Amino acid sequence: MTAQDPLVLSISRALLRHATRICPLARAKWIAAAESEIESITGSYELIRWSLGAVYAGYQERLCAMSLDEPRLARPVLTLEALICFLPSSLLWASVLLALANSRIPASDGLCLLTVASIGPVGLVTFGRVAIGNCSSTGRYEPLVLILLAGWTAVAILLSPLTPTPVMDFSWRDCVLLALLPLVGVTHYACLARKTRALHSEDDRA
Amino acid sequence: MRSHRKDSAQSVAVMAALLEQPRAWRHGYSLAKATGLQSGTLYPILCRLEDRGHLESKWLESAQPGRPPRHVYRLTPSGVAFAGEVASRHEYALPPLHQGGIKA
Repeated sequence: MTAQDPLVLSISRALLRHATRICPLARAKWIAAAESEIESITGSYELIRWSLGAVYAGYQERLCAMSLDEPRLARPVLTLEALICFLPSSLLWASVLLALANSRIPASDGLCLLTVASIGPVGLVTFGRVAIGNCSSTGRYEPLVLILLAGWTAVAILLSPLTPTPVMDFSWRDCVLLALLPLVGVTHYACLARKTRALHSEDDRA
Repeated sequence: MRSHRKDSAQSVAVMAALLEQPRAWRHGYSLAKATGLQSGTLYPILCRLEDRGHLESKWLESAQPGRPPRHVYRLTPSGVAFAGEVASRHEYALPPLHQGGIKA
């Protein structure tokens, strides 16, 4: 079998097409450069290795572009992160609101729980705006507000067992879903906001 | 003081191969053969070198009719200086070059 074997060539071209699809646009010309070499490569093994190398390079560039403090992260990734980090708190917030409306819990406990879970809807809206809109929509004070809210949530949940009359029994799963995940989301949001501001100030200087 | 990022052995090998014929245009495949690197390692290195302004590239029409144009590379004057500096720092033994440069 030679490099000109149609099957090997078509596999090789399919691999390179895949590499082009996954590689960020800014680096696509390097995959095109690798593709331009395949006519000159002799040996089917060599050809497949060459194409697999291009796929590897494509994935490497894609992963670099997905660095956590990279403001130009893919929107689906940010949307998924917003949902994972803030949806559990949002659901708690909504259920407490419903229970309050139906007078199923005392008003004081309900209001306390509403403030504890408020990071959910606030985070979901703020982070979701960045995910669905664009990263330049991060405001100057939004990260600070989110940090304060997430901090209050974490303190309230973690210290809840120590209070004389706990409003709610939080298990370790609740601690992860309601305190830890919002903290992770807020931290990432603050990193994105800082990087975006740095990029904007670089642009202004330029 | 200028800080040096540690050069990988692969980057040094690519620069040494390019330095062998600094003003000749080289194909990616010939560089891969000269250095023993696979495309997945070679192209990110070439990419970084070009980003830093040490490398220039262009598409060159193939001498053989019916073949697509190929991407070729050579060191810029600043790249020649940088590659020389790196090569002397590492005292890198040049790998055997199987293919020469291409006349532009």
